[in-house]
Parts: sequence; C-alpha cells; structure tokens
Amino acid sequence: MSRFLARFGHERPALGGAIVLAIIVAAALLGPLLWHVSPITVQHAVMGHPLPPSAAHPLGTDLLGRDQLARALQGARVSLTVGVTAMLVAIGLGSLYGAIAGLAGGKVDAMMMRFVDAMLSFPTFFLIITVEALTNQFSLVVIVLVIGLLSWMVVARLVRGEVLTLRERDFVEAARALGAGPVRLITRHLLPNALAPIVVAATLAIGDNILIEAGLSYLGLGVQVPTASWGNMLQDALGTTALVAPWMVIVPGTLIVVTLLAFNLVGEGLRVAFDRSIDQ
Amino acid sequence: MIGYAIRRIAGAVPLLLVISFVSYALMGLAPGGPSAILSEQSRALTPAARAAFVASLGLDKPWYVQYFYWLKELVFHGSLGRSFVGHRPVIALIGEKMPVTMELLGLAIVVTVLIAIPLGVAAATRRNSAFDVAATAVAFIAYGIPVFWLGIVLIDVFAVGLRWFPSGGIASIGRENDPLDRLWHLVLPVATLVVVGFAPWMRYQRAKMIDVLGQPFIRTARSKGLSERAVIYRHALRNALIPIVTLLGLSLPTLVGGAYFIEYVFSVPGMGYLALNAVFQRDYPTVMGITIISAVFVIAGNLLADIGYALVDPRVRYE
Amino acid sequence: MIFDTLLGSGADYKPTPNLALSWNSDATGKTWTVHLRKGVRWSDGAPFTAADVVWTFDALIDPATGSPYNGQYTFIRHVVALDPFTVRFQLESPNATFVENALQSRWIMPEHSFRGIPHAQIKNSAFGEHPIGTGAYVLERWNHDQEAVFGTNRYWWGGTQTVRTIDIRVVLQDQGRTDAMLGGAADLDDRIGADAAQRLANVPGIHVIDIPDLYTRFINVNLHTPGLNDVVVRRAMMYGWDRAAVAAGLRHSHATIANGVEPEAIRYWHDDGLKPYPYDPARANALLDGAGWKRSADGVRAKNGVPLAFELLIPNSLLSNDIAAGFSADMNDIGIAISVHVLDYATFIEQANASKFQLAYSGWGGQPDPDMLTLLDSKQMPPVGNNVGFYSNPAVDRDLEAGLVTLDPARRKQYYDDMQVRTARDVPELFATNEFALTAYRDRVHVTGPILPGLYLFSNVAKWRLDP
Repeated sequence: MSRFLARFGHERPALGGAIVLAIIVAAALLGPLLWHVSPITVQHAVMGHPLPPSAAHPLGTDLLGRDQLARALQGARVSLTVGVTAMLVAIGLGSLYGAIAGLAGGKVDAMMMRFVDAMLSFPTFFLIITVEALTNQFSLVVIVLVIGLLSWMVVARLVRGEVLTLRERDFVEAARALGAGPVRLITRHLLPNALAPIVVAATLAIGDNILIEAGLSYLGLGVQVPTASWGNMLQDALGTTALVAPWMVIVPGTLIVVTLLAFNLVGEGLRVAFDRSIDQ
Repeated sequence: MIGYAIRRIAGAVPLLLVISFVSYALMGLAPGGPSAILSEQSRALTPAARAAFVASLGLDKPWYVQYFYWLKELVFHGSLGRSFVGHRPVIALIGEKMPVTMELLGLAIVVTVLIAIPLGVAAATRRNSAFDVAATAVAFIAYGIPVFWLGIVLIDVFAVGLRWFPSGGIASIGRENDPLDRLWHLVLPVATLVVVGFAPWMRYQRAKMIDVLGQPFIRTARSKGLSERAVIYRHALRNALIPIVTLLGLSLPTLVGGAYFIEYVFSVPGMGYLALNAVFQRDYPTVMGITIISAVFVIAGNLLADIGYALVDPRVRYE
Repeated sequence: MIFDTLLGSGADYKPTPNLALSWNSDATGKTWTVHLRKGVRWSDGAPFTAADVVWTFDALIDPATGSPYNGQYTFIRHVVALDPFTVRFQLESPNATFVENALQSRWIMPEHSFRGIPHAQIKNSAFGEHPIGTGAYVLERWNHDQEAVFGTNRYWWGGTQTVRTIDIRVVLQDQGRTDAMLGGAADLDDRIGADAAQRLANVPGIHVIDIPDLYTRFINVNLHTPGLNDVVVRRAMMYGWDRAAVAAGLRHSHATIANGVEPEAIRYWHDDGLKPYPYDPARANALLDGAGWKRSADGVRAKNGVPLAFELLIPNSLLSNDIAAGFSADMNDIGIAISVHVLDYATFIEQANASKFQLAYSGWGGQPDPDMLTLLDSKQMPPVGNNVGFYSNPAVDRDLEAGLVTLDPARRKQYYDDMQVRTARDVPELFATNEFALTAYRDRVHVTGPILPGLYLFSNVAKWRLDP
C-alpha cells in the first residue's frame, strides 16, 4: 500500500488532480459556511437582466438575480453527490454481478454475460433519457438510480475478467480448500484483489456521471429547480442570453471541465500507480 | 468463422425480442401519454374528445396488447407502424433522418481517427517528450468538456460573433444540393465532436503503440537494421491498430442512435433529434422503431468488431 | 397559405368574406346559410363547390375521423348543400361561437381528393404529403423537419401574389433562428422569445413588432386543496405576487399584467375597466393575518392544522422555471411555502388534465371569442369538461351559458363583462400575464393587412410587398 502511495505521489498530474478535487470537495462542503448568500433568493429589481461579476456577486448573477457563486457551491454538492452515488450504485452492482459470473463460470457465466450483452444493446443514453422522461421523477435519488442502473455493465465485464484469472490462482484455491463458501470467496478474496481496476473505473465513472447529469439537465431532465446543479446552471445560461451574460456560460462550464479533468487525472494516476506497484 | 457469425446473428433474434418487449413495457407503464401532442389550449379538448383520440391510436388497450399488435405488424408485414405525430410510416421517418446523422457522425469519426491516430503514434514514439505531455494534457482537458457547452460556445464565437460559419441546420436556403454548402454547415458540429471525442482514440492508440513497441518482434526488427520509420509504420502500427478497429465497431451504434446533443444544439434534423422528440411526445411507434434499429446496429457493431479483430490479428479465431 | 377558411379575419378578428361571400342565421340561431364565392378553383384546376364544404364538415363531426377538433363541433347536427354555392348548417342549439369557431377557423378540403377514402383512413392518406388547396400558394417542396417551399397557385381566386415564393425553415433552436435573422438568411421570424427580441430590436434593418396575443398565462388552482379553497388565501396570493417582475423583467415588457381570465387581445370582449391586483405584500400579509392564517415557527402560515404549503407543477421550460422560481420566492415572503415540481410536458399535461395538482402553470387562448364554458362552468368538471380546478359559481355558470347562446354582441358582452368581474373576485386561477406575440422581420418586408398574431398575420401574405 505504501509502495502504491509512493508511486501515486510520483504522478504529478494525478497529484495535482487530487489537490483540485480536494479543493472542490472542501468548497462544496464548507461553502455555505463561508459564503452566506442564498442560492435561491431572487432579486426582483433585476429580473431578466443578469448582473456581471462584482464584489457583491463575485461570479455575477443569473436571469433571476440569483447569486452565481452560491449556486455554483450548491451545484458542486449536487453534481458531486450525483457523480459519487451513481458510481457507487454502478460499481456495487457491477462488481457483485461480475464476481458471481466469474466465480460460477460455465453455463451460468455464459447466461449472465448474455444478459450484460442485452443490456449493452439498449441504446444507453437514449434509455437514460427515456427512463428519466418517463418516470418523471427529477429527484436526486431517481437520477442517481437511473444513471447507476444503466452503467454497471462495463464494470461487470471488467470484474468478471479479473475474477476469471484470479480464481485459478493459488490463494483462491487455498481458500476454497479451507472451506470458504462463495460469499466469503467473493467478498474476502476475489473483490479485494480485483480492487485496482475497480478503483480506476470508479474514479473515471464519477466524472462521466457528472457529465451525464449535466446533459440531462441541459435537456431539462436533470435536477429540479430551484436547486442548482452545474448542469441546470448551464441550461439557464444557454439561451440567447449567452452573449449578453457570458459569465453565466463560463462559470458552470469551467467548473465541469476542471472537475472532470481532475477526476480523469486521478483515475489515470491510480491506474499507472497500480500497474507499477504490481510490476515491482 | 461464417458459422460463428451465423450463430451470433441467430442469437440476436431473442435478444431483440427481449429488448423490444422491455422497451414497450417501460413506455406502457410510465406516466404521461401521447395525448400530450394535442394542444393544451383548445376548448375542444374535452375529456371525451381526448379519449376518442387516444382510442383512434389504439391506445385504449393495455400496453401488452399494444405490444402484441406492434410485434404482429413487424413480423407479418415488416412494418414499424406509423408515427402518432403526422401519421407517417416510422420507417420513412428513420430513412429520412438516418442519412443525415450518418453523414455528420461518419465525417466526425473519420476526422477524429485521422487526427487521433497520428497524434497517438507520435506521442508514443516520443514518449515523455514535451509533445507527448502537451498532447496528453489537451486530450485530458478536451475529454471533460460537455459537448453541448462546447457547441454553444463555438456557435457564439464562430457563427454569431465572427460569422464564419452557420449556426445550425445542414444547408443554406436554396443550396440544398450543394455539397460544399453542406460541408460548410458541418464544420462546427464536426469540430465539436472531434474535440470532445478524440481523446479516447488517441489515448488507446498511444497506449497500444507503447505496448507494441516494447515487444520482442520490434526489437528483432530493429536489430535487423530496419529504419525507425519502417519499424514504426510497417510493423508496430499494424499491430497497434487493433483497438481502433474495436472502437470503430463499437461506435457504429452512435452513427445510428444519433448524437443527441450535437443535433439538438446545431439544429440537425437527424436520428438524435427524432429520438428526443419522439420520447418527449410519447410517440411510441417512433420510439420503438429507433430502439429496435439502434439495437440491431449495436449487435452488428459488436459482431463486426469481433470479426475485425480476427482479420487484423491472426491469433484470434472464432469457432 | 395552402388552404382557405370560409371567412377571413379582419381588424379585431371581425369576420370578412373569403371562400364565403355572405352568411346569416334564422331567428332561432340554429340554422345558418352560407353563400360561397363562385369561380374558385382548387390548385389542380377542379372547381370549388358546396360539396367540398359539406365533405369537410362531415369529416370533422364524424368521430371515426379521429380529429382532435371533433369535440369542438358536436353542436353541429348536419351540413347540407342547397345548391352548388349555398351551404346550410343545422345546429343542435344556437351557438354564438359558430362563426368564429367554424367559419373563420376551419380549412376547407377538396372533396374530390378523398373520394373512396373512409373517414378513419384520412389521417393515413397521402394527401398530407401532396396537399391541394384553394389558397394563394401550393406546396412545392417539403423536406420534413427542414423546410417547406411554397410557390404560387396559378388558379388562385385572389389575383396576383406579390410575394412569389415562401420558404419556411425549421430551425430547432431559438439561437439558430436569431442567428438566421442577424445573418440575413431569414426575412421573418415569427413568435420569437423575449431574449431574442432584445438582441434583434436594435439591429439596423430589423423590425420587431409586439402583437397582442390571444393568450393569457396563469397558475391554475385546484380548489379541492385545503387552504387554496379559501378565497382570502387566493386573493392574498394575487397581492403577494410581483407580476411586474414577470411582465417587465423576464418578458422584457413583452407582456402585460392580466386583470382576469380573458386575454387582453380580444379587444371587444376584454373588460378593460377591471383593475388588476396590485403588488402589495403588506396587504397580502394583512389579509392572511385577518383570516387567521398565522405564521408558525418555520415562517409558513397555518390555520387549524392546515399549513399554506403547496406544490406547483410546471412543464419543463426555461420560462416556466424562471416564473416558478420568482413566484415561490414571492409566496415565501408572505408565509406561503411553494415547492416547485418540474415535469416533462407529456406527463405535465396528463396530470393537469386529471386534476392531479394543487397549483399548475398554465395558459389559455388561441381563440378570439370570450367563451370559456368548458373551463369555468361548474357542470364542466371532469370527466365532462376541462374545469379541472373545480371552480363553481352559479352566477358565472349563468353568464357562460347565456353568453354561449346569445347572438347579439352587445347583449352577449354584458354576460362576459359580469363573468370577468366575478371571476376576478373569486380568483379561480392566479392570473399572470397577457402575452405578446413577437415577430421580427427585415425592412425589405412590408407587412399589409391586419396585424394579428400567428397564422392570422400570414393570412394576407400574398399581398405583402417585398423589396428586392
């Protein structure tokens, strides 16, 4: 583990990404304590005329005169929550499914993988939009579940592949000889040893999920008003107001790009670090 | 090989049945109905009139009965039914939108590959050089850009601001059959797709190339005194192209499913636009048609990717 | 443009001769006789006769056709041709909306194109792709979802078309439409947004006109909701809602504050004397305090355990999101908690029609007639009609029912004036704004004829002038 951390420490871009992420997470958590402006307070006097950045509103306001800094902070909480929890759903489901398939092998494995193929044959994003539009519950929970339940298949394939190679290894044979049941085998021996690719996939998935949420919000299928997410801030910005109030476009757009960059750098760094610590 | 392909295709039929059934069930069980395509404002739309309209579309029956009718039409008449909106045959709608999407995305994929592969190869052969670092950095940043955001920014800058390119659509008034005009309309959407899409291609290409360059047969080739250029292009590249073949196969479905955001942002009347509208209007026959056709292409794409593997890499064999 | 209505619409939506030259009813108001223009030809050269009018209305009133407009014409018993140029409509009951609703609104279709086609198959016929009409233009080319090009109909009865070609482009996004105007690719952009109007208004060579639209925006109230069934609460909500922020702010003054249920644009029928509720949060608070709605610890008012906390359903759009955000902030100020629930349009409509709401973003309009029977009459609650908020006031019922069968405009107006005053007092819905239809056009276009919103504007397009 320490060897792994040392390796990760050598990946400068990844380290930078981790620092950026730490800042964003800290801002999301502590933001309301430091910046006391409400993200949903409307200013009647300026409705329809977004204010440019100023001392009172460091990131300007939106069409309703709502403070963009406060909304960006609230959006950070929402976007990160969606990203992380949807990832947990997908990774949890995918790992378990993949591990069971890999361990069972034979006909069961083949059947289970056929199902994954079927799931992958659905036009995924179309399905996400359809389910979102059809369930009409633009609550965080539903958005998280929809994204999670439609993106676990890749993880399942990945984990199954790992388990297929792992299960022939000595330590698994040994555990099995000692009488370990399938549950114990999966939770204590197989998944921990397949952790490296899972962690990498998880890190990258968070970023992807944030992007999916932004896309859903842009189509009006994301997090509900008046709660801000980076996605619905962009939706608000992308009318003909874009030229009148460029800060409305730049703020959420930059936040998304930077956050995704950070997650991807960390994911890449983790991958390299895992690979090298195994090599050594 | 041919036997394998036939078995895979035969196996796809039950898969398509399951997909169509699940899709219909999803729509049937969901709230909101096609009566939404009727305006909310008309004084005429009494509950009775609405019910009569719904019945005229066959929607007064339970969803599984509707599904059965839909399937019967498909199996016995090869028909995907008629759209609820405008009552045109779904197959005609898809036939009209698909070429538009294929033109846009096909061009985008070609440009992406033409940019990403040389970049990946160059980055791999100059590993850790300033060029490699810069290319990697750009790829990482580009990968995180929301496609609709970039699209809008490009429109604002290059279409509205500088007036270099049109802001949307696929042809100018009166120049519908002018290929140059079409190309001019495709510049911004294709550029958007290339920017947000080239990163994975380049990264795969770079990783695979590095992998291949470290293998014994490359060392053998070098030791035979072949020029570096010959080693890279004749020996390494051929082997490193495998992930690209896979990616090409896997990107086939996006050619059909449409790029929702890009079509939405750039007003391109393609499959993505059709799909989005159909979902929003609860145009069940159109949603089903798109789902089925997309699924067929996903399955075909996977199959082609596997076959492509076998062609590029003689070690891969299917029985 | 391809088709004609029997009567046109002039200034203030007054009926004008079109395919029909004259029209009158007998004393009962149940029998109408319409005299048609002679010498009119369809764009394939076939003559236009009474048979076309009869076929059109027969198809409309036959439920088998599956026309969504069918419910609008259940009061027509039958339509017969007295001779090739005279048509008689027999109504079930006198109906004051008949002229506007049937003669001014419905396009006449060529009977000879549908011979042998059962009514149920009309919507699947190829006619929609290759229409034949009596209008000034014929469809020359149609790329679905891209463009439709119209050329002149050489058989047109109206003389020479000064505008020779009309190219209608489908641009999926507002931004693209604005750009087309700015770039000079388009000459006219109908029904633009307030933001787009702002961008286009100061551009040299582009005019933006505000046309009063037949449309009012409001928030519908389900009167079966505890709390909302108290008229004091509803009035307080009217006083507490800063509608100027919507009209002047979000809509950039392309809307005015509504005084009641009827759109301001139907000039003759709208009660101009009725004062809109002013924005007066102090008065709203005083009303609620006086009625015993006391603020609890969380700031939300309640009485007898009923809190003033409501859910507002809105369809997903930028404007509805913004209006809802402003509304809930305003209500918060007077101690009423609003939670906004966004639905996609298809589900929103379904829930609103089924009365599954407490408050619902809504709008009404499209007709230049004051009739609102199916929306406000107490006998029109679902499943009969569209009174989805369960409003009931016997005096309003009487006005609406008498207004529908009274043909004399002056007498008819008294009923609707009374109805507007009573509903303004009862607040069966939270009135928001009267809307303008914004149209932008380049100065090479010279619009003539009545400046009315939407399709009305284009009814005279053949006689507009175009600079080269």
